[in-house]
Amino acid sequence: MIDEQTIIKNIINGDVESFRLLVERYQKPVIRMIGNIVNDRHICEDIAQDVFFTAYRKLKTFNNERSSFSTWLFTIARNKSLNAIKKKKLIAIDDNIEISAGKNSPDILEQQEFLNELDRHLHSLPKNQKTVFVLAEFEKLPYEQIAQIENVRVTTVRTRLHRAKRKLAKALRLDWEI
Amino acid sequence: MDKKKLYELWIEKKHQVEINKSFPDKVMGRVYEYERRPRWFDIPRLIEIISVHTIIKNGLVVIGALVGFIRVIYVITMVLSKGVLNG
Repeated sequence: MIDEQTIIKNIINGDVESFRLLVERYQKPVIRMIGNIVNDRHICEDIAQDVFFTAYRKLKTFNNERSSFSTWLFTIARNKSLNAIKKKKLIAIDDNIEISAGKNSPDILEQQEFLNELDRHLHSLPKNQKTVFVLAEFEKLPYEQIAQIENVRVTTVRTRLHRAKRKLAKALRLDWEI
Repeated sequence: MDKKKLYELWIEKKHQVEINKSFPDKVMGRVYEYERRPRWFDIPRLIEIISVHTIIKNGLVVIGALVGFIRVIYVITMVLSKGVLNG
């Protein structure tokens, strides 16, 4: 695997096709992260395209001493996702998780309702708590990297995550800590 | 299934993603289209060039300051010459 800095240097020196390597490497986490923030799979690919295109145009401004490429890319993705929510006021929940077997049994319906509730409450969290929750719980990013993406201190990340989890647990009347 | 297990299932499902195989091609299509555009009449590109090079940025600030200064001098001269004519 070619190292990232070499790929970036090659792109800046005019090897446009090398950018495909970065797209292929990061498409999965970027699309997933956007999908989990905007909660609309129909527009998340368009936003992801925008994210990579912006990254290509601004590649010369990327400074690897300030952050890693993935942190820089995730920051673009986070900002574009929040802008999309602001513009379209996305509230539709179309990405419901389905439990496969026996859809009509009361147990399954209850479980399905619980998953839908989780989705609803996640998307009703304040923006900054939601993005931290998505980055920490779904993307499994370290707190230090989340702090860089959110441009806040690590302690703020911990606080936001704790508040988000507490709100979810309270809203869902859970008797255990998330 | 208890709620704890359901919560874990939710986290697990949120970590899965389906990606359109043509996604990299779509991005590269936009990139190549962007590269084919005429360079010097492309405003976003001009802004990028300006924001990347400190010398160009500083040069523009100096030119702006000079133009402003000349305009102020011009206005003062106009006011003074009218004042002199009226007085």
